Amino acid sequence: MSAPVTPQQVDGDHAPSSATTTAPTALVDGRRRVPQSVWGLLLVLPSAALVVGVVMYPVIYLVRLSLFDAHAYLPRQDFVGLDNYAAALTSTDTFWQSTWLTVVYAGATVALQTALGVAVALLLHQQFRSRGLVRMFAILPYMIPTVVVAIVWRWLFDGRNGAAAYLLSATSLASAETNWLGTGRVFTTAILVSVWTFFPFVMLSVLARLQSIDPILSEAARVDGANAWQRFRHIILPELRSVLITLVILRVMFMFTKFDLLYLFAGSSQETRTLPILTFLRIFGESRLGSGAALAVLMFALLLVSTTFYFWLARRGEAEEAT
Amino acid sequence: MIRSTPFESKGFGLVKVIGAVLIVGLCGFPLYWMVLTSVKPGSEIFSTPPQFWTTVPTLEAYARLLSTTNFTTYLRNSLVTAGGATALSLFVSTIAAYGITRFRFRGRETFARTILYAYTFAPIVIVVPLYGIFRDVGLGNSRLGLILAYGSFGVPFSLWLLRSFFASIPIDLEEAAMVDGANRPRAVWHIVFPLALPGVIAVSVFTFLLAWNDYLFAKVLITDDELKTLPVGLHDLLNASLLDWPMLMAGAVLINIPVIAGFLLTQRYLIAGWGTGGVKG
Repeated sequence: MSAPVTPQQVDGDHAPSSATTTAPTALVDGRRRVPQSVWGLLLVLPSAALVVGVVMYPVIYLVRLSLFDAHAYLPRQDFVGLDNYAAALTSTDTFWQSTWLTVVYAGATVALQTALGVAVALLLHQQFRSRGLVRMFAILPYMIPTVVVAIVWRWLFDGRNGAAAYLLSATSLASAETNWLGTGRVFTTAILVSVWTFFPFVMLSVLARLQSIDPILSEAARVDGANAWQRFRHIILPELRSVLITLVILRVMFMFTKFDLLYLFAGSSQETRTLPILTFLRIFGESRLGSGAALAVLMFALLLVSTTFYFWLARRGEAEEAT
Repeated sequence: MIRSTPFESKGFGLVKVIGAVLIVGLCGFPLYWMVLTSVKPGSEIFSTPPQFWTTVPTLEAYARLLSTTNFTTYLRNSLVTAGGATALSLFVSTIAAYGITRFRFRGRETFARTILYAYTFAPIVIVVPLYGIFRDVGLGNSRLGLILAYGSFGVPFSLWLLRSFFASIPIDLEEAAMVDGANRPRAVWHIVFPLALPGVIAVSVFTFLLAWNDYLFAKVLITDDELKTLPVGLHDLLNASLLDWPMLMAGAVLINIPVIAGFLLTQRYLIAGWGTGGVKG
């Protein structure tokens, strides 16, 4: 009756304290007890089913789709083997041009949002009045829905009446004739808007890391005569190194496959047609489900290869630093 | 040359002030402009140079939005899908997190880690096959399909956050309640759940906003106008032949209300609990 209560037990009463993974089914109060391993599995089953069914199985299904000439709306599909991949890789313009645009988009937005995120985090780590309020403002761009970001910035950069377009020309930062949404410029503008909405992710992550650095370190360096830059370079930055490595990879993964902001803000014109947008257009514009699936797989593969290479570089850098 | 320049010096104080003003301006102005445009009278919208305040605010744009578009239908659809996804995700994550922290079974660590990998699959990579799968099983163009999708996307983060909450609640509390005669579900409901409430609120807000903000899945999985959610509906208005900016901004303001509310509700945990996952990619 008074067996010690342990976390492994199914119920607090009666069960033998030696209950382990393979707890035998015991008859208690005339009822058959279900072993705790079964309980545990039953409880995680629904989440496992959801994540496997809606996230993981689709990825397998995607690879299968890419081997078919499947129509997006009609139930028609013919097995074509690797033809979809061959067609994409040997296309002289679409695939490789989109790949290049994706690399530029991901590279530029990640570099800028990381720089801005770190700078803002360093500033908001300092003590000053109403810091909490400024922090809240700095998180806002990340919280608001992407569709709102796209629509509001389209309005801000609107040719004749856009407030941002006006302010930039009034302060001589840009010419009044600049057509921010026009051909040849909209991609750059989209990059800036992306940085605006995604830098808080970096900022929050870096801020969380900064708060865990012992202030004694920086203080000691200060007493020893190191200036603000030197303290950042030699005390803070080494501490941030590992979080920055993770952040860059995360952000590259997100930005490389980013569809909604670019599509909503800049549409699907040739100059902003990154791989996610090309995939979307291939399937829902041209109705070629199989071909689009192959594009998605290629995009995923490119990402996998580059992240692996990046981790290899990062590890080599660490090893060199250690020697 | 090494100079001693503490952060508290005058020069740095100025940097802080300028930086803070820039942050508030750059992050806040677009939202100010959104609200301002939504209440400006028609005559002030297209003035050059743009007018940065208004003396005669009006709610005409909101009235137009509610009476001439399907906004209320989209709003209802968004509430149903986001609410349904939140309930689904919260329920399955809660029991799973409880199972992992309270029962010992083989593979629970592997399970928890594997489920986190779900985050490495990009939405655009998932939505393509999901469209095919849902079409095949008859979940295409339905609210239930969207609820299942969003509910699943909420699971990894919810599971991990709730797991850490449950792990920090002493098991003795439940055991005591059960010794006193409560069965396990009652003990969980009255003892564990209230103690994990901050976590429960955080994951609910997370899943709700994930579903509320999403454009891609709603765009691909739903074709019927009567079933569209707010982000898709609002973007359709942007593509309409006649651009009604005040009305669009009114829609943007209304979409943001639950977002800002959720943000204020959970921002305490945002900085402290950052690192377990993001709201969007």
